[in-house]
Amino acid sequence: MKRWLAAVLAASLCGCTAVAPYQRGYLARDDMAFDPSPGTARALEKTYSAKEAASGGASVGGGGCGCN
Amino acid sequence: MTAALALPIAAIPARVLAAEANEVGFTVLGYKEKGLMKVTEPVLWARGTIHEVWEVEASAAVDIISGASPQVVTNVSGRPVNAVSAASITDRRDTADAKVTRRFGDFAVSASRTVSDENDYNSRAFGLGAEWSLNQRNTTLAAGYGKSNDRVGSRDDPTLHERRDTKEYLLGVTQVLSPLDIVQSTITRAQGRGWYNDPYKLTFTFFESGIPLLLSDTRPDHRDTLAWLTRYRRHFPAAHGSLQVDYRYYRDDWGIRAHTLEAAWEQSFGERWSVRPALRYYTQSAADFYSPVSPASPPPAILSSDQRLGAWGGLSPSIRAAYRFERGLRIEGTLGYVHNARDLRFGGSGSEAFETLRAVYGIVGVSYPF
Amino acid sequence: MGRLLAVLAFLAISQAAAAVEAGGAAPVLDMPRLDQPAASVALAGLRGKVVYVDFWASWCVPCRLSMPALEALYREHRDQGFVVVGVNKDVSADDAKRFMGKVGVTFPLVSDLGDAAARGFDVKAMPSGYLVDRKGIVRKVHRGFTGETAAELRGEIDALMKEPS
Repeated sequence: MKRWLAAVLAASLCGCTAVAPYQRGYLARDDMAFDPSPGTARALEKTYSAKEAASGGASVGGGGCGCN
Repeated sequence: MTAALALPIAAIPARVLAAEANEVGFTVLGYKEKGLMKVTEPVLWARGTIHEVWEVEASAAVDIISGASPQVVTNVSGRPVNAVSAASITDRRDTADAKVTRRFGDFAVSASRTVSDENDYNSRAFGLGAEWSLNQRNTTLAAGYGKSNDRVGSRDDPTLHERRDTKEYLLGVTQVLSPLDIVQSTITRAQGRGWYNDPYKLTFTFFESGIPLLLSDTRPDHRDTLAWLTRYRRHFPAAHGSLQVDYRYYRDDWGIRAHTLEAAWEQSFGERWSVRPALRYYTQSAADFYSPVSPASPPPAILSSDQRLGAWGGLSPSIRAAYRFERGLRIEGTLGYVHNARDLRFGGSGSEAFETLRAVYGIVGVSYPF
Repeated sequence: MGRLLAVLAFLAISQAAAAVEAGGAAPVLDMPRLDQPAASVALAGLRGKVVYVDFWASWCVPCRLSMPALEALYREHRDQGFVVVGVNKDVSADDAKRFMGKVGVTFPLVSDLGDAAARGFDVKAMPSGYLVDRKGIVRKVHRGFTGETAAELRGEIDALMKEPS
């Protein structure tokens, strides 16, 4: 856990690879987003997590379900 | 079995830059298992920016579940098998959530609330989040805290009133690596206390001699979990496509270890069309107290034969196509197939009693930015 | 701890270098027009006018919101010697043109494919606007664009229009 934090801080302090604000065009593309549209993301999450033991990872505060 | 319902609107930025200030959408999911359950779920969602510094997101969904679900695991025939409930059940779950974010330059704080109701389960949860962008917004740090209070009941037993409370903690970082690629890594820890038993599941074990044993699904009264999700996106301008890879490591104190890996390629055709084939692989180990048969004597205090706690693996290919109209309206369709089996477990040794699950799903969505 | 301080100090210094702020001479700007790449627009050629150099892109939401406001200011003051030069940061001119098809403006647009202009002006946010007076001096830098920016710009332009060239 501590090593992960150190790696994160090291990466963030590295100003040498900073991408300028005007170079963000590609990153703004739809296909570069981390989640698909909210409706699809929600549908997919439920489809898999109702059958699997693993859950979560991306967010907190989502509540539970009585998935039987 | 509880499945923590992650908000579709993540605590950490789903996009580096919002494409539009406001957006509204409607999605429908249809899911069908071979021989078992069927789910239909319409979802309505919206997000918007008010006065440049406030962001609001909200969604509402209804799950309509019908069909059969494995109810008893019994070895009456010699080996343990799932016996499905005779009557076809129909259940309905209503969920709504909302999130408000306030931006202060490179810093943002958010609060969210989720409510979920079905006739045998109620959940109320809230979340708090903070985000800090550094280094000309190349790096974003995120932290989150969430708490859920769930109430468990049973449609078969009206006297059942139990509770389950969970606290969640999140730490994440999003890092722009170059003008063409970005990575996000998040760790979430959850600590739950309360009732985890599945009120509908039973284990019915026959022995060489002696009377058979009928046990209700009994699980520990706590669950501590860790999920570590890393997502990577890279654009290839010459190919007009992007690579999307997600990996999640999961472990909990029930003895379960799971890995999820999804790789996808989103191909753009001109300015309007995109097609995204994807393959998702999942593998999990069994919970310590999972067993499809009970030992004869003494009967264990904790035992579950729910195969979702067994060792197995799954492959799920899917394909998504999207079309964006001139004025911004976007239509999206996804088709997926789920195949969960004991021999797909990484390393090979899946649980003997795991019965292969085959399911197909389709998701159709419409969204409009304004 | 010492190394951490050294890294932070280095970052602070490297951020401060080459910043274009009010009071300095405007950097050189000579870029091909978006619609006719053979023609170009140069800041030197606009000496004597009040110029607002605006860095924008089709993928930047506040940039899209700023266009109508800038167009209105341009139309109001162009006869008195005011011009907006929109410097586009899209990687493909087609993206910019498609966007312009939906949000038409009449002020000149140029493309900065090699990032020379963005680096010269040390652009730190999108959009960034540099208000240059009749003598070629940068008088105000606007980073980001909100409702307040439009109101502030109006006042600043009015003041600069009154200055002699």
